[in-house]
Amino acid sequence: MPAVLEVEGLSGGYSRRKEIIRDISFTVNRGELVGLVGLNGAGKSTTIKHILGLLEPTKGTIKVEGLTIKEDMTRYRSHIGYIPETPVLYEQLTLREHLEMTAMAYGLDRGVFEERLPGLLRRFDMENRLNAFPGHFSKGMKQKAMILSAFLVQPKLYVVDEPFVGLDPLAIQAFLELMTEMKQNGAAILMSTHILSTAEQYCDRFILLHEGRIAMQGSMEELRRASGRRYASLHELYVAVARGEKPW
Amino acid sequence: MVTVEQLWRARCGHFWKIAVRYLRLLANSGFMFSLYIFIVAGGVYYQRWVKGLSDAFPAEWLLTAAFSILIARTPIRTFIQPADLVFLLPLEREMTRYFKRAVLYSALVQSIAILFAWAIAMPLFLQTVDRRPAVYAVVLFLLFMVKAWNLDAAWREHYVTESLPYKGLRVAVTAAFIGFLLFKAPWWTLCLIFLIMVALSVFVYHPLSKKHLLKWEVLLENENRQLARFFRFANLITDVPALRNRVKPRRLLSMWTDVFPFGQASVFRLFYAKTFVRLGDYFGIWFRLTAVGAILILLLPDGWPQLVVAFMAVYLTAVQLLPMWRNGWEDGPALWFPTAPVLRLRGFLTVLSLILVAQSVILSAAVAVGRNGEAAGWALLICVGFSAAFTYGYAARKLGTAG
Repeated sequence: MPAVLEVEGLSGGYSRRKEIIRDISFTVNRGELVGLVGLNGAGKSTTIKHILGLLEPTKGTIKVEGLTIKEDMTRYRSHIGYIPETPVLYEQLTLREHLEMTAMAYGLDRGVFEERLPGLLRRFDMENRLNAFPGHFSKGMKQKAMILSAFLVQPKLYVVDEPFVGLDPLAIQAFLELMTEMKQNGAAILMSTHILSTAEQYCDRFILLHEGRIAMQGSMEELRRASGRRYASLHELYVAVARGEKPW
Repeated sequence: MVTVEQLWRARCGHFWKIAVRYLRLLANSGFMFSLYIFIVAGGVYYQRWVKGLSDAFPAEWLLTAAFSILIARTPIRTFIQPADLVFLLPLEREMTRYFKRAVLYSALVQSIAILFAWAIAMPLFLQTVDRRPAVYAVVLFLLFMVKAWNLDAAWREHYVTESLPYKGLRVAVTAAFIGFLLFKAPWWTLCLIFLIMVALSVFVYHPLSKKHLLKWEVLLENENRQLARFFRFANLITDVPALRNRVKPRRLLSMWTDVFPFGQASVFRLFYAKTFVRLGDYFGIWFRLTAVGAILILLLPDGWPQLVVAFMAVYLTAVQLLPMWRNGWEDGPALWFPTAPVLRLRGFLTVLSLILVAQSVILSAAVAVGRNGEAAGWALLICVGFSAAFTYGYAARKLGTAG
């Protein structure tokens, strides 16, 4: 079975003259949670925007379920649920309308929408906010709205960019639980984050980005073996990579 | 290094640069002309009204109420911005000189308002309260004094969260002073209230700023409210960008979107229908043009001028609704929706055509009220025809290529 997400030799950025990421290759398989780790400006969000098709690569290919975005844009995107780093919502739409719009755009039935909604709202304690406008939301609530939209769709691939900022501990817990459930149901998840302890605990594999290139990738075991530090934590490995000291 | 005085000058100058631009627009608009007419006509009627007043008319009460409100209402323009709550907070002590300027500036602006109001009150005052112009001048001087006291006290109120009791006290003392003044109470009662004011300043208001810290958020809120008031005023005559994306819930009105079935085809119909109802002034434009058009049609004699009015109303609405395509769209989840771009275009065109056809029907109905069935038929044909041509001909081609 092919990987859900296949990135092959990807280079790109906001302009052709200034590439931010270079020659990136990795895969995310069914039932796998992969952590994308790197400093500010390492190219995490740029990589993610390329996967979503919001930026065009200068080199390389990206396939979701064996399909590039050029071949079939709507099918490609219908497999992806995206939670952006900064929540973006429409000022003129209520939370319910955002969720409805998302459900419609991804081709969900009304029945499925109505069935999934109450449980999700309860988990994130947003039942009372359904008819409120984002103008009255805190940062955390806006983030929850983005999370709700992504999990409502139950896509094959979740692309999650730094999801923990602004969330309260209960919401973080609910989010991690949901990710685990979706993973068990066969979803593939790519998550960028700075919260390394959480990443180490929940991710199956890691991609360490440094200055636009992949410095290391693999499971915790593989990273330790490659670095020769048997008891190193993800935090220690990451700091070593980021400082440019690679004794291995 | 920028001093707080320079900062004040820069902020104040920046506001006035914008304000002058809007005021110039205002001066050049029809609004100013109607204001002149209103002032001239109002002045004549006012003079006549004052001459005919009986002695029983409670002019003192009226003036006391009006000037108490005018003088006790002391919003202080500080020109502070949200980021100041982070960057200027450590400078609270140095900012005293900045805020002193803010209070002085507000005193100047509000004194001008008092001067105008007092000039308007002149005929009434001389007719009913006192005939001597010298008294009229002295009272104005005393009003300025009370205003100054109000500003000083109001500024200190910004140091407490529960400022309501202090505001109440200030309003009561102010109203008492103005009342005693206009009802010509014995001079020593005025002196007494004056002493009370001094005592309050020394023992109540000034200690607030020593004991407490400045409530910056209240300051910011007040500043925003005043700025919004100015923009709303300017918005009467022109499109103010700062207000362009205001959202109004309009729960009942937005229910019309329920006509669209649940499904991918409806995503952008829903989006644009809600945007039309809630965002900025799109619905306001539609409503005003429909109402004005309908009223004109009812006033005009039966015939072709009615058709011209109906057509013009639909045409003007159509042109002004076109920017809805982009406005409110940037940076939202729809950027990564798995929907073909043409779906967004179709959704927009559907909503636009429905809005215009609804307007056409209403205006044609207005034509039909004059029992002019044939003209109403023509109006409907012209307006709906134009709506269809504008939407699916012009807009579709323009937006389809613009992306």
